[in-house]
Amino acid sequence: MKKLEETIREVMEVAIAELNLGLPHSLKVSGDYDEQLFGESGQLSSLDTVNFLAIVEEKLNETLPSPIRLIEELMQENDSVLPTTIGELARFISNLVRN
Amino acid sequence: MTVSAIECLIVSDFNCENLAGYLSHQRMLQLQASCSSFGQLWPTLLELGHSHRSTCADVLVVWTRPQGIAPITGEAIGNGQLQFAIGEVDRFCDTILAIENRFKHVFIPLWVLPTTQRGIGFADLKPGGMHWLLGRMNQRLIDNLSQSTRCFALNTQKWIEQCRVNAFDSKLWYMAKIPFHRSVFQEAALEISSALCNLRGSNRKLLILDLDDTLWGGVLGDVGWENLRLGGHDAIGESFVEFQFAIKALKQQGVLLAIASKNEDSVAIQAIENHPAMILKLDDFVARRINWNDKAQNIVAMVEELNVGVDSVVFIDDNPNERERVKSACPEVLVPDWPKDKMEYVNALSALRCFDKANVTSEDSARTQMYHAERKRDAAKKAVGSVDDWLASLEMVIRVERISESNIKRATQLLNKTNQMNLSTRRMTESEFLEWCNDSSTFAYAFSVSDKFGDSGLTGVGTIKINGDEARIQDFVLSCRVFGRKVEEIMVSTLVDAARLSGVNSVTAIYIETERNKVTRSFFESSAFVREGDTFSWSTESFYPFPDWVVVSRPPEVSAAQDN
Repeated sequence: MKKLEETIREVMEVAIAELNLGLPHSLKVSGDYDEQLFGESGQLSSLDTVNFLAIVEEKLNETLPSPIRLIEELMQENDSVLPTTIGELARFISNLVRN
Repeated sequence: MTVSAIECLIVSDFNCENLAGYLSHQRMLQLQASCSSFGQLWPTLLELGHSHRSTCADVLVVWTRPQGIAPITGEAIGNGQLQFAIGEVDRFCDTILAIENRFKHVFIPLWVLPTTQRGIGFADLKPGGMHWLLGRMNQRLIDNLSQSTRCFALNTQKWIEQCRVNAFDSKLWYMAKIPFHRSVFQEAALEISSALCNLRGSNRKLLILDLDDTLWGGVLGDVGWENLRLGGHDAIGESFVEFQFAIKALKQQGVLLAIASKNEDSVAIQAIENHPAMILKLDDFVARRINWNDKAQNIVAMVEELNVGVDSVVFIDDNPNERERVKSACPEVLVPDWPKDKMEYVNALSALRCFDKANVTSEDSARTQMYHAERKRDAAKKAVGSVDDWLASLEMVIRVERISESNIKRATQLLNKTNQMNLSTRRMTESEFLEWCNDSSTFAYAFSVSDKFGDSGLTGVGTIKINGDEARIQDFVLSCRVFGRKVEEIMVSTLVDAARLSGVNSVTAIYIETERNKVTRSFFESSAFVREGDTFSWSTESFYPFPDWVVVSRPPEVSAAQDN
């Protein structure tokens, strides 16, 4: 069986590819785990962030054995602990699934 | 020649950035899409009406929710609310029609309601229901825009059905005011970009089909025509019949059909002619190569025979190896991936969208017949000695008419689709071209050709613009179906006579080279015009000669010029 981290990484890659299809040509998300994407200093606008999270949630729920409510969980978090990079988001998802 | 990106402005009462993104990523054409500010539907539309710029973008998309136009709630709707909603739809349409001239094309997706909005339930389509009101609003919108040549109402429901997921995404709506799942926007982007391709004349003209497991089920050579899976009490057989019906419908819309199949010609013809469930008949095909040769070579041979561009061809074959071969040998041919499941063929054909057109003219419906008549002409050509003898034997009649509202659809189609005999290769919308033709300094003529073998319909467009002492031939467009039959001479002669009538001394034609219009230069080089570089001129002191064996019926003003 695949490790959870591997599954999340694959989902991220698919979601980034999908997101890039709808982003302006000048803005491309590389998929680098440390790239600042979300939040005030992130590359993505709030609209693109919502789009990205919706894609990630949809893809995770197609893959994982039991569904998660990523967006809802993120909204309940304090702003200071919200993920700003894909790496942080992946860790957040990993914790969410494990708990 | 640098192709500049088509600018597309999206005005919406919800967040439509996703559509802008997907439009900008379309491979079919270079599109630059942008959205108006969020929540600024009416201010943007009204501002566009007051803008001092004559054009704002090439394309306008106005996508709204029904609630953005009129109150549409779960409560029972009375007559007063209906009248109010219809009045608001009229106001919306009037606003769009007032600004349509600032764009080449305007697209308005029809209104839809989320599936969670059930109104009063099963009876919601009865008067008073939300969906009843929605239907009335949409119908009013369609009716209000029906006369416009620039505005197209688009079927949003089709995109929702295509996307195969929950099209209305409540999470996205509450968080970002995006009402739809991204796949709805992807479908919309595909529809809009293919509509633009087609409106710009890049739709496909020729559909080349394989036979075994493409038009019918089974391998003919193995099972014989009596045992093919086609029609009958058989799901697969039935799906092939439906597929043939869908292809036949394309033929009625002017798409030419041809066969490229690895089979024995006589055996295949026997199957086509004798199988009782065959919907497509031999006459429906304008060309065929049923042999054991390479399919790519067969396709090139048919393209040459029919004198169409390779980039106007679609090739459908169930065999992936054949598809790969044609793709690599003829990259301009559209070779769609084809489903293994036979029952998906109709869906796959419909998803191509490359045969769509803004309207179907009588020339489109009769196109196959015209190609068959061309075959008879070719046969007669071989039987008769000289070209002039052959042309004289055709008993040609050419009808010349001013371009007006009655023939503008076909004239615009010809202007936008013709690549070879086309002097300036300019592309215009129907309304732009009509406006140009109606200008007092323009003389614009449509040329229809018929002979003893059949009617080729409106196949030529010639226009001149008078400027001071000189007339310039702006458009000189002739369908490849009637090249080399002296129609060119009649066209030039008519334009010269029109110029003389306007009192000008000379007529010039400036050849603008494209990759595909070299035949136009050859014609003018071999004509009686005086050449200076790419400019060809003629003094109106002389009549331009044309053969006396063609019967020409011309509008009174140019007939008078010849009589005098």
